[in-house]
Amino acid sequence: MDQNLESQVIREVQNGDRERFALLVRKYSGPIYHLAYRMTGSAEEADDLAQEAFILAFRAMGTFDARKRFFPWLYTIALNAIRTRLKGKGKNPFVKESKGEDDSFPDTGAGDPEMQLIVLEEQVRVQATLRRVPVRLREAVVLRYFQDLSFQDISIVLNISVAATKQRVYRGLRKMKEIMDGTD
Amino acid sequence: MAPIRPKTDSRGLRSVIRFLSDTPRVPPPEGFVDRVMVRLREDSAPRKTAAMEGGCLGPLRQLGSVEAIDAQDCAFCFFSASIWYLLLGIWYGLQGFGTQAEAAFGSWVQLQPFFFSVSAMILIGLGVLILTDGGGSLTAVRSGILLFLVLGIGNGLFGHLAIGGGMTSLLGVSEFLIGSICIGVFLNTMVTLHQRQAAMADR
Repeated sequence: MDQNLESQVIREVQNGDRERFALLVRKYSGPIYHLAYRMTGSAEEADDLAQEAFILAFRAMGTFDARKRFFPWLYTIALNAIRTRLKGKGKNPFVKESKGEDDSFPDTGAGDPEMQLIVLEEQVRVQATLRRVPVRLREAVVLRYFQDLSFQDISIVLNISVAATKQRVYRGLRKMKEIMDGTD
Repeated sequence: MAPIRPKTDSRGLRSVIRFLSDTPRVPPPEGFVDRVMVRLREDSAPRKTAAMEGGCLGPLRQLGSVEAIDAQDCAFCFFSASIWYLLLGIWYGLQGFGTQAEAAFGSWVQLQPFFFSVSAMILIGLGVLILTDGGGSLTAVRSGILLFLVLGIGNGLFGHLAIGGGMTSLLGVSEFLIGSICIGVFLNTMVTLHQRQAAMADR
């Protein structure tokens, strides 16, 4: 879906055509689900949070300016929902350490069971590391390296300057490195 | 805040970046889009029913599900409240509370047309400010609401003391007190909803 079609779909949704919203969900379900999954580390929670993000976005569609880009707005809504959930559940990334057993992982997509196990192990490792990174830094790292957003776009989503965004990403990476090296 | 030093330990961080980049993408589970759409349909239907069945409470019930409002809607709330105060000011200015009320409540009653008119002017001013300056002046609008609340509560307390300070006088002025507080809280909520919309629009 190109930018023009997306703007048209947004206008149609704003004019009351609810079913057209499915096109936006289809386009952004991957990034939003992935964002929620990397932030929470649980497939089940990511599923629920991503759904919630789209519902919140739909409710607020009337306030969205169709001339602006949709995805930073959607990402902001999704991140707010994720932050609220993490805060509400008292998930302190400094305290809780993933052991893998209590986490639910999504289908890896790898057909070979051995390959699937390797991928799964890698995911456990990534999540265990990410989970120990403070939320503010984690979201910057996730947006940069899992969502491939530019620093400019991340700064819009997080409502901070580009310099502050770079700083957060850098600090997030440093934190991950410390955790992986076992110095944290 | 520590300065950015990407070059000093870039090798170490590069391994972290590679570690992140090598991690496979996690696709949403099958049927995700359908589930969202089902939830959307379920989400929208009961709200329509509540609005229809709720009578005068319908709009209030719906208010809980409103995420954000634009400048026009926000200003409309201020103008509506100002019209109410303006009408009260004109009415009491022309008619008064009646001789009996004036005898019982004293000079406080004579101040009421002035109080209503000033409150109306404040609310009109805040409504205009919201319309003309978008989301940039919302802190000033909140200060205006605070002024309105101080005026309303001050008027109520002054009335309470002027009338005699007993339970009867408290009951007599309570409608002014409660009215001002309710309207102030409502308008502040509207400003919060508009602030959310303004923040979203900036992105």
